[in-house]
Amino acid sequence: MQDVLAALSIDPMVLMTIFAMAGATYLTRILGYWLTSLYTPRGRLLAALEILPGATGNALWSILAGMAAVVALRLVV
Amino acid sequence: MWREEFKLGVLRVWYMAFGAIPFGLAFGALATQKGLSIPETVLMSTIVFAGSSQIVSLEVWADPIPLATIVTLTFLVNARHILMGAALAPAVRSYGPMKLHIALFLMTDQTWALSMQRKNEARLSLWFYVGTCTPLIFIWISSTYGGAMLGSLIANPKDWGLDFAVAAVFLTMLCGFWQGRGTSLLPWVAACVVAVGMYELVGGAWYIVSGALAAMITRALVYKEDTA
Repeated sequence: MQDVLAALSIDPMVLMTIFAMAGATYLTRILGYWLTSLYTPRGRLLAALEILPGATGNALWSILAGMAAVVALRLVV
Repeated sequence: MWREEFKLGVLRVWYMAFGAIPFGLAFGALATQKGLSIPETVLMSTIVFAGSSQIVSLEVWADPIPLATIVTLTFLVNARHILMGAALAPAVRSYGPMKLHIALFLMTDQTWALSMQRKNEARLSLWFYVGTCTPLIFIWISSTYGGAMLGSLIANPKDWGLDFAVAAVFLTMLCGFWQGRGTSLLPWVAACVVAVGMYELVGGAWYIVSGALAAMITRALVYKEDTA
């Protein structure tokens, strides 16, 4: 019974974190649209943004390479 | 008319939607292993609705919750949406503010790619867009739920090697996203060095954010006009 309740409970701090994540994510989804009416990134800034995860440039991969390196290091050391 | 458009959207997205099932299952199982309850896990998939960032957040999830780190990471991992939204903007501007902001809430890699393709063949209708979103919503949420149920049943994840699942998922994803030596090599090396250094010296989850920033700065520094 205890386990069932734990599996179904909602913690206020977790709830707040999820809402904050949702807010941050929604911001990324609308920001591009909003910004197009003000400024279109190009050149150096565009390249820097494209090294982050994306459809043309993808570099969640850069972050992941870092994480993979840490995992590998931990396994070796 | 709207029916055909909706159907076309569904037809084009369904195989991609099925591809999301293993990720939904993995996310659900890992989230419950990290101590999230089933409703919390399903809620995250429903309102965040961005798989990679959800999985990355679990990597740093701890008690007490590092809120600032999680929100920063979520923003960085989803920063690609900014460029996607900018590219999609001209095609969706005519929907009007209300429908437009709902449509953008549902923008995923899959919907975006299909919409960009569609706008080159015809007008991108709202119903086509909704058609590409619908299966993804159902499959993402239900596979998360399934994963969470499974995850909460497994008492000791280490027996199943599940604690290694996040690393395995990321390593697999990593393979497909090399953009060539000129573009990727230096930023990746910078990300590695900075991330490992930060992990060893500072600790916490700063290594992820600083790795990403190192990659961005390196890319901006080595950027050459003619290779753009």
